[in-house]
Amino acid sequence: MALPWALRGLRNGVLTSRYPRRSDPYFDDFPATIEVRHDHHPAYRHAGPDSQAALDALCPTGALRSPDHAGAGVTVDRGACIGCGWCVAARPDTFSWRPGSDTARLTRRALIARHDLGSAREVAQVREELARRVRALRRSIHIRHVDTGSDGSDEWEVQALLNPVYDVHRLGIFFTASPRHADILLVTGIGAAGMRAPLHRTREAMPDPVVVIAVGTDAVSGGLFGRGYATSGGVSGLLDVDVWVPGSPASPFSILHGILLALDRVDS
Amino acid sequence: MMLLLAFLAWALAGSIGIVVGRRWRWAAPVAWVANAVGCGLALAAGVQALTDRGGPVPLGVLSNLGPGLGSGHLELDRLGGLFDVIAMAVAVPACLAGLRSTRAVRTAPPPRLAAVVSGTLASVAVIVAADHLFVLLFGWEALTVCFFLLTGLDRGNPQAPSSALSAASFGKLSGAALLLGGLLAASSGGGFGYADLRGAHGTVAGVAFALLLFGFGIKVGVVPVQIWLPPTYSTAPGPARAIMAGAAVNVGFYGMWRSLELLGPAPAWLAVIVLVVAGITAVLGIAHAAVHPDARGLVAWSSVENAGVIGAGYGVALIGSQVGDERLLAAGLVAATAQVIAHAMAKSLLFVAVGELEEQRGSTDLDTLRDVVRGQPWAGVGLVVGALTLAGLPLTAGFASEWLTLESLMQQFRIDHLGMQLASAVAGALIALSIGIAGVTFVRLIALTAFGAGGAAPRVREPIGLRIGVLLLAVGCLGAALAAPWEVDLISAGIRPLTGGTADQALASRWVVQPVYAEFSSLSPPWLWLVIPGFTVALIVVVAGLSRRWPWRVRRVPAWSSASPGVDRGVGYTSFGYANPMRTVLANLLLTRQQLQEVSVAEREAASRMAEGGTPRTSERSRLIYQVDVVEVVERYLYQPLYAALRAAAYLATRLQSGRLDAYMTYLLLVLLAVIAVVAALAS
Amino acid sequence: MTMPLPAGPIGSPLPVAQWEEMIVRRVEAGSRLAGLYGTDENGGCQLTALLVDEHQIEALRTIVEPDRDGVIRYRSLSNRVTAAFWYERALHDLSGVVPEGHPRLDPLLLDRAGTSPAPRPGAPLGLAEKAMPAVGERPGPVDVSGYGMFTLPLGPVRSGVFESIEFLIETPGEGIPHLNVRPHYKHRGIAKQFEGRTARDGVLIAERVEGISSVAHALAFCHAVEMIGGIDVPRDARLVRLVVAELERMANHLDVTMRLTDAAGLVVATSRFGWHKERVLRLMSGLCGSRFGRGVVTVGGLTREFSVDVLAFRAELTDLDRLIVADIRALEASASFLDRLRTTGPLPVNVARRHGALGPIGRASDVENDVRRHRRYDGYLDVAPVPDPRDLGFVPAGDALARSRVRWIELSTSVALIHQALEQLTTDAAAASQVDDLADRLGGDGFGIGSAESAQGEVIHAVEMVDGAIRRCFARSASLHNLVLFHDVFAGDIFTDLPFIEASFGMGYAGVAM
Repeated sequence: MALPWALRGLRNGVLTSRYPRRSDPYFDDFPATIEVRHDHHPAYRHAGPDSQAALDALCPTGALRSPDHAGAGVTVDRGACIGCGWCVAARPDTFSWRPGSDTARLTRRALIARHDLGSAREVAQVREELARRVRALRRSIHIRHVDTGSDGSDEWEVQALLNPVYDVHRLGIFFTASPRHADILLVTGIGAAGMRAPLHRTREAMPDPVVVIAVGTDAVSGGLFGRGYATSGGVSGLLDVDVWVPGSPASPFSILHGILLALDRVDS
Repeated sequence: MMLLLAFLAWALAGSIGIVVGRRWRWAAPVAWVANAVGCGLALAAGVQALTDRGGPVPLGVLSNLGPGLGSGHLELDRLGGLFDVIAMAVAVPACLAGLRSTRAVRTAPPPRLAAVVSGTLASVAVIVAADHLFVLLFGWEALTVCFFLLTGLDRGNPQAPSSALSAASFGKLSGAALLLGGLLAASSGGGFGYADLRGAHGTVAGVAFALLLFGFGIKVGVVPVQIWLPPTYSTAPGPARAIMAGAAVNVGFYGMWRSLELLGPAPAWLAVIVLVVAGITAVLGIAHAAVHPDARGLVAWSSVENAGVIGAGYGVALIGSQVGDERLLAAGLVAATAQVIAHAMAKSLLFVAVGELEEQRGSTDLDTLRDVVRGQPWAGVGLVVGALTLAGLPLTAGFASEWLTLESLMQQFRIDHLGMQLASAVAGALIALSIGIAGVTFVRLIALTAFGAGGAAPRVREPIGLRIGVLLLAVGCLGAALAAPWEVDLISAGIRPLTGGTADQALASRWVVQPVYAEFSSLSPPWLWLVIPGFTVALIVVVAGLSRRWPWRVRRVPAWSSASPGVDRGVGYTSFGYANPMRTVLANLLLTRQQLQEVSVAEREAASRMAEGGTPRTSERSRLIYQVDVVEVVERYLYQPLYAALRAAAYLATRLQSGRLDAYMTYLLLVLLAVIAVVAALAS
Repeated sequence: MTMPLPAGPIGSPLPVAQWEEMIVRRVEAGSRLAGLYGTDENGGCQLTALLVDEHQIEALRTIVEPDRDGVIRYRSLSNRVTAAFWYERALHDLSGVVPEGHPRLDPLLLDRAGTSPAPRPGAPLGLAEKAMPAVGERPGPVDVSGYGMFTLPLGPVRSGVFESIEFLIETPGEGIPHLNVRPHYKHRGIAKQFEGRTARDGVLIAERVEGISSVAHALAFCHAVEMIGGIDVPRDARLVRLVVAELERMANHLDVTMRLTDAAGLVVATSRFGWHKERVLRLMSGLCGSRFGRGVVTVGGLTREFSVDVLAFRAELTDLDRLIVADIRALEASASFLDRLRTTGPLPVNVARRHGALGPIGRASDVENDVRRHRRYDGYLDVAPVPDPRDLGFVPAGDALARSRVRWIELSTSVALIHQALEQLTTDAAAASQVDDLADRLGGDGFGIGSAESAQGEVIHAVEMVDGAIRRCFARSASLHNLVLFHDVFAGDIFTDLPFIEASFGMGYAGVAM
C-alpha cells in the first residue's frame, strides 16, 4: 500500500517553485494589486472633494485617494483594496492591474502606493529593528496561524504554502499547532469581536519575541468589512503588526513574500 | 531475646489500645509508638538471624504442643529472618505514619486500631519465626482474625461488613488449605515440625506443596482467589492498609519460599501452573489497576499485579528446583525476593500517602484528587516515589527487581522440558505486558493526581510521624537502587537455606548485578544513579550555556487549551478519562461497556423560557448521562455462579431447620443409624 | 427570461398562528425548511421562512410585535420542525426574537453577553450603530454528565491552519458520545454588511460570505437580484458562470480529499491532491485573475469581457482530470485509507431527510437536493443535465466514505460540464454583460430569492431591495444548514475519527458564523 504511493510521488518530478532563489513566473505575473497609470484622467487631476467623490464611487472600500496639494497624484491604498477590479474596468486609462506578488510591506503606510522618501526611511528603520528581533530564529521558523474572522479563502491560501508547489518546509518554515513553539503569529480575518480574547490568549501563550504578520486585506484594514458591530477594522488595533500582506485573499506567494520579508530574507 | 521484647512491646500496645482506649488521650500515640518499637526490635532480631546470631524465644512449657505434635519453638532462621526484616522494616515507618493526634482522625477509632495492628504484627512475627506447622497455623489464624477485625473496624463504612466477611472467609479458606496440605505432608514426612516435613516425598508431597501454595497464594492475592483483596485493602482504615498490604502480605511470600525449602523440588506440573497463574494474575491485576477510578482500589489491584510478578520469579525458581539447576533456582528466587522488597516498600509508601490524602480530603476518588503535591507535599512525594517504584522506573528499587524478573524468565532456553519452557515464555510475555501497562497506570497517578493542575487543596500541615514514615520509605525505595549490591547480599544471605551460596553469583562484581548466570546480561543500578542525574545536570548546563540564559527564567501563562474560554466544569483530562483508552484497549479482558442515556428533565421547558435581557444561563441541566463500566471477569464468571450454588445450598439447609422437635429427633436417629452402620461395616 | 422561475410566489404576511401552522403542515407534506430569518419592521420583526419544494422556493412571512416588556416572542418551531433549531437560535442572536419553548437558546452566531441589544438586520443603519451589541464570551455548555466525563475544547484556535470554530467534545476519554459546536467566534455581522449597499456592492459581500464558495454565493445573490429586476443573462455569460462555478467545486472537493488523506497520514496523496487543487486555482486565476473566481459574476452576467484560450484551457483541464482520476483510483485501492472512512461518522437517512441535508452530505445519505438538477440555472440550462450520482452506481451509505465518493464522482462531472460549456461558447471572448441601468431595472422595491449549488450544497440568498439599495439580505450557506448535523454523526466514533468526519463534511465556517 505504501509503496505504490511512494512511486506515485515520484511520477511527476519536482513541482516546487524555486522562489525566492529564482524568479517564478506565477509570482511575477499574478495580478495581485492595482496601480495607478501615469496618465491621469482629467477628472482626478486636481485635489479636492469632487475628485475624491468620483474615486469613492469607483471603489467600494474607499481605497482610492485623490491627489493632495503636495503634488502627489491619485493613490491606491493597497491595504484597503480588495481587488474587485472595478476601477480598472471603469477607468482603464487611469488604473491597471499590477502583476507581481511582492506585495508585503513592513509598515501600514508603505502599502499606500506612493513614492515617499520619509516612508522609505521609516521602512528601513522598521526593517532593521525587525531583523534584530528575528536574528536568533535563523533558519527554523515556526508559525502559528489564527483566524480572526476571515471569509475562509485566506486559510486556503495559507494552507497552500504546504503543498508541493510552494513547499515552505524547504525554507525551514513550519506551521505548529502549539503557540508555545511558535515564532510568528500569522493573523487572518477582520479582527472579529468574538476572536479578540482568543487572539490575545494565543499571543500571550507565545514566547517572545513574536513577529506578527497580518495576512489579507481583511486583516490589514477590515477590507469591505471595515465598519460594523462585530469587526475591528483589521487586527492592527488588537496587536502590534510587523508585516502587512494585502490581498483579498493574499495569494500564497504574497504570504510567502511577507514571511520572508519578516525574516529579512527578501527585499521589500 | 529481641523477638521476645518485640512481643512484649506489641502486647503493651495491644493492652493500651484495648484497656485504656479512648479514656486516655495519649493512648493511640503511645500504642503506635509501642508498635513501632516492637517492629524495630523484631527487625533487629531478623538482622541477628541473618548473621546467625539469633536464638530461640524461651517459651517454657508453651513449646510443648501436646501429645503427638511434638514441640515447637519460635526461632528465626535465615529465611525467616529475611522476611522478618522485610516486613518489619516497612512496618516501622508505617506505624510511625499512623501516629497522629486522636482528635484529627476521621476514620476508625485509633486506639483499638493500634491494638489490632499490634496483633497483626505479632502474628507476622509468629509465622516467620515458627519451626512447627501448628505454630505457623496458629499465627496464620491469628492473622486472619486480625485482618477481619481491621477490615471491619471502620463501622461507618457501608462496605465494611461484606469486606470483613470476605477477608475472613478467604482467610479461613487459606487456613484450611494450609492445614490440609500440612497434614498430607506430615503423613508423608512423619511429623509436623519443619525438620520432619522436609522428609516428605513423592506425589503426596507434590499435592501438599500445591495445597500450601494455594493457601499462601490466597494471602497474596493470586487469581482466582484475589477477589477478597482489593475490597479488604480499600475498606481497612487508612493507617492499617500499609501494615496489611506492605508488611503482613509478606508472610504469604514467606510461606511460598518456606514450602519450597521444605517440600522442594516441585513437580513440573506445579511449576507450570504457578507460572501461568502468575502471568494471568499480573495482567488481570494491572488491567484493573489501570482503569480503577479510586486511589485505594488502584493501589490494591497493583498488589494483585505484584503477586503475579513475584509469582513468576518464584515459578522460575520452581523450575530450577525441578530440573536441579541451582543457578536457575537462585535466579528466580533473587528476582522474586527483590520484587518482594520493592513491592513491600512501595506499597507501604503508597498506602501511607493515600491514607493521608483520604484523611485530609475525605476522598480517594482520583477525579477529585488533583495536584496533591502542592497541598500535601509529603504525601505527594510518597505518591510519586511509590508510583515510580511500582512502575519499575530506573533509580527506584522496582527497576532492578523487574529487570531481574524478566531476565530470570528469559532463562527458559536452559531447560529441556517443553511444558516448562512454554509456561515461562507465556509468563514472560504476560509479565512484560503488565509491566508496560503499569507504566500507564502510574503515570496517571503521578501526572494527574500528584501534579495535575486544577483542584489543588490548600496547603495543610502534615503530622511529623507521617513525614518520618514517608521519608524512610521513600529513601528505602530510592536507596534500594543505589544500594542494590547490598540488597543482593541481603537476599543471598536470606535464601541460603534454599540455594546455598549460589545466589552470591547474582553479583557479577561489587557494583554490577546479573541474573546469576554470568555473560547473559548485567546491570549496575548504582551506576545509573550516577549517570542519569549526571546527564540531566549536564543537559541543563549545556542548555543554559547555549541559550545563554538561566533555564528557570520563564514567563508563566495559563495552560494552552485552544484559546477556548472553557466550559463550566473546566477542561482537561480527568483521571478516569485518561484511563479510558485502556478500558477500550483491554475491552476483551475488562468487558468494557459504554452507554449514553437520555434523561428527562422536568424543568427543561421552563428553563428555556429565557426573557430577553435576563441573566444568561451558563449551562442547562445535563440531559445526557454517559456511563462506562468494566467487569471483574473472575467474579462474574467464577464466583457469581458459585454464589448462586451456595445460596441454593443454604436454602436447602434452611429447609432442614423446620423448628419441629420431632423432625430434629428423626435427623439424629438417622445419623446415629448411619454411624452404627459404618462402624459395623468397618468392624466386620 | 429563459429559465424557469427560481422561486415561487411570495405571500403577504400571515397571522403568526397561521404562519406556524402552515410551516408545520408544509414540512409534514414534504417541503423542507431552508431558512428562517427576521427583518426589523419598525420595532417589530418580520419573520420569513423559506420552504423548498422540488422546483421552487417559497417565502412565508409573518410579523410579530413586541410584548409589553419590549421583547418579541413567538412559539418556537424547533420542536415540530427540527431544521428550525439553529435558525431560531440565529434569529434570537441577531434579531433578538425569543422563540418560546426552544430546546436550547444558547448563542449560536453572536454571543451578545446576555444584555446588549441585538443588531436587528433590516433596521435603519443609524439605529444599529448607536446600539452596538457587546460581545461576550461565556463558557461552553455541559450536556453530558457521568463519572469521569470531561470536556475537550477543540478551538477556536485549532491545531493547524483552520477557520476559527470551537468543538466542545464531551468525553470520558477516547469516545465522543456528544459534541457541541460553537461557531460564533468569527461572526462578522454579514447581514448588516449587506444593508444599504447597492446590488453591485452586494455581490462583493456575497463573494465573501463563504470565501471558498465565492462564486456560488455571488450567483445566488445575483439570481435573487436578477429575479427582482427580471434581468436575463446572455448565453455566453451563463456558460462562463458555469465554468467558474465548477472550477470552484473542483477546488473544494480536492481540498476535502486532501484533508482526508492528511488525516490518514498519506503524505504523498496529500501532496498530490494539494498540487491538483493548486492547479485548479491557477486555472481559475488564469481565467479571471482571482484564484477564487471573484470579480467575475455580477448582476446581469459578467463584470467584464472574458477571453478564454479554449484549446489551452481544455488541454490543461484534460491533463489535470487524468491525474485526479488516477490518484482517486489509487485511493480507492488504499485499504488503510478506506478503512478509516468506512462506517465513520454515519448520517442516518431519516435524520438527513428530516433535516433536508444538502450537497454531498445529503447525497451520501440518499437525499438529493442538487440545485443544478432541480432548479437549473445559468449554464446548466445549456448543457446536458447534471447526473444523479445514484445513476452512476453510487451507493448512498451515509458514512464519510460515501460523502467522499460523492465528491469524487462530482469531480468528474465538473470536468465534463466545463468541457461542454466551453464547447458551446460561441466566441473565444464572452462579452461583459453588466446591466448599466441596474438601478432603473430594479425599479423601486422588490424581493427575490436566488439559489445556486456550491460545493457544500444549496446556497440561498433572499434579497429585499428598497430604493435601489439592499434593505435585507439573508445569505444561507449550505454549511450553516448542514453543520448542525455534526451532532448526529458521532456514533461510536473516537477522537481520531474527528478529522475524517470534519473533513468529509467539507464546510466553510465563515458561511456558518456569518
